[in-house]
Amino acid sequence: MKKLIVIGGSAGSFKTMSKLFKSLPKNYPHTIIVCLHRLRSARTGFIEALSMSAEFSICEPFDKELIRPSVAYLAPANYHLIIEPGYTFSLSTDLPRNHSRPSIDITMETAGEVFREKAYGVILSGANLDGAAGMVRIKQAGGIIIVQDPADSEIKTMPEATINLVKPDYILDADKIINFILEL
Amino acid sequence: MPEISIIETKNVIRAIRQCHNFDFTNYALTSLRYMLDKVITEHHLKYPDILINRILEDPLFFDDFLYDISIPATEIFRDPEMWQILKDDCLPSLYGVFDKIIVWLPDLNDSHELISLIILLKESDFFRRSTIYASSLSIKNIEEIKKGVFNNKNLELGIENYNKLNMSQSINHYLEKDKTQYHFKPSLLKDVVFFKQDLHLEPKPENLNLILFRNKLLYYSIDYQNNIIRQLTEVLQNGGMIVFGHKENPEDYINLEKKLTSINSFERIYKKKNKIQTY
Repeated sequence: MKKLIVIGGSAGSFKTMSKLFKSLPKNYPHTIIVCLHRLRSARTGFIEALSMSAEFSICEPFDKELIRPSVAYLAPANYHLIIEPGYTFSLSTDLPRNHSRPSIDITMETAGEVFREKAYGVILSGANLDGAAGMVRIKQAGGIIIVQDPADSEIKTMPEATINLVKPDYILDADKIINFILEL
Repeated sequence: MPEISIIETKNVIRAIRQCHNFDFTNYALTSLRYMLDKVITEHHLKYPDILINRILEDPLFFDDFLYDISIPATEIFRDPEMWQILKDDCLPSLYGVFDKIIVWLPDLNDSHELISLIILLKESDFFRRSTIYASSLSIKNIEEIKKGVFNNKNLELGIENYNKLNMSQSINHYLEKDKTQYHFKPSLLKDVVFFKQDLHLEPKPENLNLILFRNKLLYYSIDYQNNIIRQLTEVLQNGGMIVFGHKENPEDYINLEKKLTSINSFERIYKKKNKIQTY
């Protein structure tokens, strides 16, 4: 089983995400899930913006789609993205968590449960607490967690929330996070 | 991850099947676990075993359980682009063929989708030519829906959606305020035929022209999704339409059975073919 990297972010994280996707080669072997806080009404355009000049495959999953290696999945607007046993996605329109839908916590905690030591959690710049609890779950499941250095973050609320809750395995600036992911 | 474990979930499913003949085995497992977490939290139950005891021992609790397990729609006119297509293309097409259309909204957990449809029909002047069925697992849900109650936290977003649709009336025309809470005018719902359904969507009305079933398939396993789509297709008249959530994926069933044709692939709007093609 390949590794699963769940990246959560909000305000200030798009630039890092965009740079990451420009850097990923087409045959990068692992699965990436991107959970970015986005406008509920913005159902299109995000993939196109992220995948500009990107060779790596990026898409929004449909409900019950199989999780495949060498693909990046972007959590769709106004749905939570859940990882089910059996390596499929479930979507949900349940109440927001931390005012967010998609919730980074929900994706990360279910990723940790299914992928265990193969799960990697990454928290980037953002303005709320979403993702901190999810990162705890990934670590508890045996996975690795990386937080963007608050000093390097446009908005440090999200990285600091994680650091205050659990000791990350790595605290890195954006470029080092990208290199870390590339070298996995 | 959800607090309730997989084993505890299976114990709950077993208890419900034993006592109430409802089988939640066909639900997507992790989604169901989150739904059960909600019930446990809502009723301040310390352990899932206590939930099982309530299910087994308290016959009146089960309707509350079904009410609390349900996942409400997020807001009125969610995905306004879909509603625009319904208003501009699908409804005129249906009413061009049928004098009166029969609509069903199965498995309703709140008033959002129903009210959105009623307002759309009124704004399009089709309401008098419509019969609307609305069903829910829970009697309590039905009672709440009839009152026009909805989560006011979603109102602002709903108004934003509504304002994208070029309606003639302001949304205020359809709202009332009771002290501090807004609700939809119950008069909007007085002609709707409400009934209780089971997990297999039984009983089903027949000869339907339109079914709205958005973001409901999500909670079922993939195999059972195909089963549900098949059942819903069977009660549609030829030329009738069915709408799913835009990130749901009925395509496997549709490609296999070839009874539905796509009207709008992005918004998951399908039409039942007039002739069943065989190969």
